Amino acid sequence: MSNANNVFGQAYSLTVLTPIIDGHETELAEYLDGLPSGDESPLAGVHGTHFARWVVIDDVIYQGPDQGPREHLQHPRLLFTSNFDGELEPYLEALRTGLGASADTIWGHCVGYPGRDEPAFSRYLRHHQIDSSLFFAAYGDRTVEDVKRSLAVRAQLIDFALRAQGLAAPDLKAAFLQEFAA
Amino acid sequence: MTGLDLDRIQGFVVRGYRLPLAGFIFLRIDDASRAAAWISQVTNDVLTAAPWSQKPASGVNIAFSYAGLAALQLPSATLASFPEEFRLGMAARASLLGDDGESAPENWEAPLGTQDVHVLVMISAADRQALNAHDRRIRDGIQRVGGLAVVADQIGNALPNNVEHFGYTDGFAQPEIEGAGLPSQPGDGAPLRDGKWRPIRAGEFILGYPDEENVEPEAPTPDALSANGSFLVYRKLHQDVARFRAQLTAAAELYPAGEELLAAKIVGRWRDGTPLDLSPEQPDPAIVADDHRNNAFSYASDGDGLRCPVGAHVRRANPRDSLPFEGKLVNRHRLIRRGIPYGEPLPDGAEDDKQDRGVIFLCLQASIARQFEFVQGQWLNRGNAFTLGEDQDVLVGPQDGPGPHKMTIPGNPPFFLGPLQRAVTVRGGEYLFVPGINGLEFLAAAAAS
Amino acid sequence: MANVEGKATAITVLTPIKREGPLVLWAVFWAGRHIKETLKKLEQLSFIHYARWAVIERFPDEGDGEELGHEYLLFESNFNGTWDQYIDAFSEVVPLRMKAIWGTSYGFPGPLPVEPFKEYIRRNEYVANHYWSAYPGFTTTEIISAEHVEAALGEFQAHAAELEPEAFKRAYESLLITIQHDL
Repeated sequence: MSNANNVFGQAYSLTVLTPIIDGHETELAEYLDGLPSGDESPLAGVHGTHFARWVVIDDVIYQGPDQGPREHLQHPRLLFTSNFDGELEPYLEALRTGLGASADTIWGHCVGYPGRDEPAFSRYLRHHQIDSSLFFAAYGDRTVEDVKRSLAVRAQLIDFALRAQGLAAPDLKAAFLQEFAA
Repeated sequence: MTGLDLDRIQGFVVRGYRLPLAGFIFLRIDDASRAAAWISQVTNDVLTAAPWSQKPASGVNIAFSYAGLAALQLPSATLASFPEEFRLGMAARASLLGDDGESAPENWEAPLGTQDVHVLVMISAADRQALNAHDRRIRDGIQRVGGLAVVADQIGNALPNNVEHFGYTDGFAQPEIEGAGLPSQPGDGAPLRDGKWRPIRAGEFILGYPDEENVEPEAPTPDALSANGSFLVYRKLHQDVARFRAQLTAAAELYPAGEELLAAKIVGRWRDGTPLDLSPEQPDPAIVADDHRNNAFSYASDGDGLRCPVGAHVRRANPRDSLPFEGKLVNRHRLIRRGIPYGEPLPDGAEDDKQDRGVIFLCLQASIARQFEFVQGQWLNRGNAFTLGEDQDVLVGPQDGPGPHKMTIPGNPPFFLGPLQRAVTVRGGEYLFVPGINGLEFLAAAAAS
Repeated sequence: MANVEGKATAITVLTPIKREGPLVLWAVFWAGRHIKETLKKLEQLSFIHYARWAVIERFPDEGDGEELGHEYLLFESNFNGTWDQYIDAFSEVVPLRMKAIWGTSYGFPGPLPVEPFKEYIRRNEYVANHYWSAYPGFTTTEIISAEHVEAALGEFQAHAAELEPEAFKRAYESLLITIQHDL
């Protein structure tokens, strides 16, 4: 089940909410807290991911008597959200292969997790998916590659513009062609 | 509209005294009940915002750090009701403020940024004689009562013609505070759609009065302590004048319109104070001399920054109407500035003499986090709010970390100023609470018991 | 455990929705998707990378899902600046939108004044255990600017080499003039 509201441009908002095996929430939280950020994170291997997070949700939060009686989640939940490029199916495959063993370490703490074999893995995540009602992406038609490449080009042009200031026309042209050789 | 309780608010919160000398005395409280007695005494001396018939030769104001309030042994519920950033202190907020490298708290002048700074006594004076006399009186009073130690002091001195050390005339723009009863200048308040201005709600600067949201700002409890009070940021900023001049001169060699215009583009005003938006091609002494003109400008017809660059210092510090949503993103981030230079000027053309000179930056607001920290952290040290990428303010930006360290001067064609080096270094600072007279009485009573 | 990664900040909020809420929300979100005004304002609040709202009717489990006494509203976003500044801006600029969305949740004090609203969000917020960004050092506006720069530079490069030096310099300056606000 995939829903048009998950999409903005070519960006997709994935929300997965899985029940954590009772008693596993502390170990799972500690494992996630301890994961390195940046290039060392398991998410760095998942192609097409702009931003993603895991959040352990111990329980819902009571707002007071207006809400009626207090209520609790029967099991704590693991929330996984991702903002990524393209369609859901290829991304689930990217998660499966890109996260590698970390997928098992993390979702292994969740009820019913079948492991990384297909089609069980992607079926599990899709079964636990929550569709977005409203999704906004500021640059929804840009892939991760687009973003990184254009940031690099911008940095390169700024650097050049600073260095080349005041150059006479022939020197400017030569310097530009050298810097931005096609 | 609420009238302000002027004789209970400390004077410099509401008006700039325009006295050319300042003496800052930092104290440590060693004995709460003696300190209480001293506070009682000095309260009578404190200069309030009550209108004066004749400007005094000197006046005193007093403020407390969180460590100081704790040393007065206020109840823990009272202490806990102070805002988080104030409780943590400026040194702990270094990463938010961009105070790293040479500006990092570990490089600050002791005891600034430590738990030993409890009280700031600020003497404002018309001349050396008055300053020395008042200073003597304060120190004698402290010695007589005991329980307090002087841990640091600092003198601030205005330079001739109200310039600061980089050569810019300062002090034109201040927020107009609703209910202060002071003459208003166009441009001081919040911009209205029709090109006029309205005063800023008093609660943006003074606790216990409605703010721009029409409610009283979050304030420490009880009201007796916080009403009529404000929060003060004290920040000693060393200015590397030789380096600033060298960078400007070197860059100006490639800037067709010359060094003085380039200097103006960095700040948004010519050195004499003429706003670029009113006079983009040359300074205009007639505008400067007229208080109804020297701050009366908006950026509404200068969206591209061709007259006043988007990254110019005054435009970053107060974007006026250049952010969308009709001032809603600006009106809650205004600052009252009361700073004063320190140190002797470096003569024109002189080599770097390695002397300590700069500005004692002071600003007042109801919320240090929403006002000072936001302006410093988001508008001066970052470019994102203005679509300026990584660019930082040329005057005070740290120019650390990755990034091209430049400023774009919009134009046809644009000019790029850079790579920039840091011109200002933080030598130390404190977050302080400026109680109203009622607050001082409260503190004296609470600490005495 | 952190909600900050370089220049990006994460926010995750979960609140119980009132009985009649889901219907109202459906209309509000429909308007949000279709009314250009809303999206334009979100764009102008130039510090949001991505934001989503999702209604949780039942919390998924191996079967048909766990149904609580209420449906829940999830808000998840990635933005630049501090949490405080983000909520301040939303409150100041789109209070009616905030009211329309969170007004359907229990405990919502209204978008203005902002302090009680911040309290409400703080109370219902979850800190991410692991937060990741593909480009943590860059803000939304830099990314959008970079797109403009790359496109303009590409156009310039297409014919630049053929120009004589003087014409080249004029064309280069023209390029800079066009994209100066994105550099």
